[in-house]
Amino acid sequence: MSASVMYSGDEIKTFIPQREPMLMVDALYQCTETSVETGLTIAADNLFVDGKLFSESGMIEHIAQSAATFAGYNDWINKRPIVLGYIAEIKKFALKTPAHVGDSLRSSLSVQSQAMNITLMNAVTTINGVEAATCKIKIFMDK
Amino acid sequence: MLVKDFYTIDGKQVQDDGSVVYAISMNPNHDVYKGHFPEKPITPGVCNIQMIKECAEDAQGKAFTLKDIDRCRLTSMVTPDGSPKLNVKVQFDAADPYKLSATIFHEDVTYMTLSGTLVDRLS
Repeated sequence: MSASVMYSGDEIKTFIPQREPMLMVDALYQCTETSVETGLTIAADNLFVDGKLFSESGMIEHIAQSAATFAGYNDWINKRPIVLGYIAEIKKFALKTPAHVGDSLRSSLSVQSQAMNITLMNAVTTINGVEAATCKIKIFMDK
Repeated sequence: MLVKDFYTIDGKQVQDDGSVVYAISMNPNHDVYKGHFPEKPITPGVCNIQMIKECAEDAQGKAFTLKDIDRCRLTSMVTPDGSPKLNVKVQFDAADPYKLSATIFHEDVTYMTLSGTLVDRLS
């Protein structure tokens, strides 16, 4: 796990087309051709917060946008345009620990398979090193 | 509703098999579309997952967390202009009311299928 942040806050907008209030990644720690490590600190005014609780739908969106950050960063360093990406399928999502306002999510995603415009990634999200959620996510890039 | 004013429930109907079908109107003017995406409004898949959970909560009169998703497939894109009316069908396992199967559809188009497990709302 990489300790230092490469890009944060508004810099993430270089890699993904999502904007407020739907922006659910605020840090990029590491990105390779086969993996990515991202973060999100949950603000009180986050769209997916109810009281202090960050909903599982927000957690899934954070994971999906982490996959989009992976694709967008690799497009960006290869000087290709950033394209819209969509969730095609989610499998075996498990919420292990609910997240709350003030928590910092840290997500590691790795490519399981890639074909044409579809990428299947394995995702693990932690809070302070404790597993918060896992899933397999398939994203479709609209190229 | 978590994302306020994102949609309206216009009606619901309990089917012979025990499932409940909701009639939904989407709100095309919601702020979500300012960010998803600025030049092309597309309903976020997770907002549809959230809508399924909220219909399940309405059907059972309880607050839930969708703790596990076995599989969720997004089979057609939902846009606020192209699909302003949706139906959400929620069905609970007869032996285990926390086991949920759901479909989002309208007329002959299926937008999403989901199977998963609910728990009483985690805090």
